[in-house]
Amino acid sequence: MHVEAFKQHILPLKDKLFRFALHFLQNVQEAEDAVQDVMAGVWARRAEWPQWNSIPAYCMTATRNNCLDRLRRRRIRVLPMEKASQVGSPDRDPHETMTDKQMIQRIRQCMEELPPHQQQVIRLREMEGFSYNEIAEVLDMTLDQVKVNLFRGRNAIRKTITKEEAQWKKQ
Amino acid sequence: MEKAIIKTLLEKYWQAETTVEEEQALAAYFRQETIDPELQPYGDLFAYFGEEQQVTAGPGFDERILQRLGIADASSLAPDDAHSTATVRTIRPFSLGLIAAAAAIAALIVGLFLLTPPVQRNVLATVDQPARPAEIKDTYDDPQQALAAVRHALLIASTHLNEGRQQLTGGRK
Repeated sequence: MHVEAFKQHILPLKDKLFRFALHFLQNVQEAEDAVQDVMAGVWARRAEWPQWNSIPAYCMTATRNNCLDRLRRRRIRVLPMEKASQVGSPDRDPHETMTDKQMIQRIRQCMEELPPHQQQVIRLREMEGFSYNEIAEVLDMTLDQVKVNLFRGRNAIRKTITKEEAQWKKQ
Repeated sequence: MEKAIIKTLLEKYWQAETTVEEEQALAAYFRQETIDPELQPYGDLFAYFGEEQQVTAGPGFDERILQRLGIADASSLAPDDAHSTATVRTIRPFSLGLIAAAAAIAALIVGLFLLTPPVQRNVLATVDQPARPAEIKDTYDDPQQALAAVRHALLIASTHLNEGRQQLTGGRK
């Protein structure tokens, strides 16, 4: 019973947890190790599963804590994330594709320069589809703090997009 | 019409007022082939989020997790059987070397057994078994025939030893 529940409800979270761990650790192997640690911890506490409000939020919180512990052990500053390869639509004009890539690059750069809490709120919301309540649980914030961080993060990105767009129109 | 709806949703989005479903609708709009040029720059934002969502762990990650938990073969595991996590045991090259060494030793024993005089074997057999009939003495009257039998036995032993040695060498690479 527990095995099936684990496979159906917890194991599929692995990629979400991995992405969040990678955001903190910037190292694929270490991120996988962190997720494995989390999964092992969650499995060991399977008797408590029914008491958890949100299993995804619990797992994500455990991932964050595991990563923060690892970073403390490393005692190094987090480096900017290695740039992921970008995929452009083959049907579009090469120049247009180039400018799109530049825009995505600017957005990524902007994200990396945001304060950590804003980055984390945006990641959990935009990439992992977490509710405000779940984000609040994972990041140990109030709902208002979640909303404020999301508002500020999104608007910082919006400014970047607007600024970049204005520069292209001038050229 | 669609553009107006998307613009309204975008305004809500910037104010952090959208629901998860509304944000999914925005993402779906910007995934389309044709996007209104005025809205195009915001499409790059959703494209960026989409790219980030493509980041996944390496292949076989599921199996590695299940092995770490000791539930890789879930069908044969009762729910309460494994309260402690199990460590995966893997066969290392060293283990292969041991297997090869064991094979070589076995071949040596077989070889020695074949080389042992038939009379000696019978003596050992008498410990637990009744004496063999007198007509099976396994001795040769012709010395040439006896020499050929010994050569044959040595050849078999030598072949087994070489096989064992090759396995041993291959296993430690």
